Amino acid sequence: MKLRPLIVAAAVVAFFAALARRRIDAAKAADPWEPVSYS
Amino acid sequence: MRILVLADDDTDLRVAHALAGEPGVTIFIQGKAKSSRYPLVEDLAGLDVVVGRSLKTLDIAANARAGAVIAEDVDESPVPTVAGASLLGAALAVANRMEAEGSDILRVAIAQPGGPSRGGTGLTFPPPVGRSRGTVLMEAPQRVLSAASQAPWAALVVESNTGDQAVVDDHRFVSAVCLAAGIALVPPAGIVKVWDVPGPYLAKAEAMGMVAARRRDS
Repeated sequence: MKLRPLIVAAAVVAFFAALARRRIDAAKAADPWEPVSYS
Repeated sequence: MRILVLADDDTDLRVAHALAGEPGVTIFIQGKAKSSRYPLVEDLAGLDVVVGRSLKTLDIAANARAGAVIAEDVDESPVPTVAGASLLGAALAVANRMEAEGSDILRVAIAQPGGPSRGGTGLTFPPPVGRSRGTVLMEAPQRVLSAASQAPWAALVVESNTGDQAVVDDHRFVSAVCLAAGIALVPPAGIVKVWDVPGPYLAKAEAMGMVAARRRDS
């Protein structure tokens, strides 16, 4: 069974998914603005 | 209501677009801007309001015996006038509204393309404007700083002890809405400054498409 390439590919995908989540969380923290209404 | 918009460029035509959405309004234009949507004014008689950015608006309104809405801040006018209908006026209106709700205003800042770019005070606007450096525009009734922003963006931020409020948008759109929203305040006589009546002014600007945001003090 050639499991090793699959495991490596899954690890790479998981790594980049975690990286994307961290960037989204950081962007949200850096932009804490919410809508306000004047009417 | 018959409104004449002094239209020399795209921003002025956006003022006409914003006003055209009001019920019972007929728009005429005068100036260098070309539009197939709004007729050129042929006769000043019968106009109710003249809207424009510059002081010549007051002369045309006087000839038309109409009211006026202008972006400039004036203390004298021959006609009933709404003054200060601009990004700066909107910023001061937001500040006055926040103050009326109990906030202590710390600082008011505006940024627009062509604004002063070498100020000595660091300012932070919401994205995409971000950080800029401002110069002091006035110290009273509020400390106001003005800065340059990257086109096409313009922004205002009011900082207070309870949190900040801000507007960021296309500078032509936000300038147009800030001017057009003055239509809500045309007085029977005298001069009304938009920041003195912040509630109806900001509500009208919001109805015309202005979007504001707040950031609570953490």
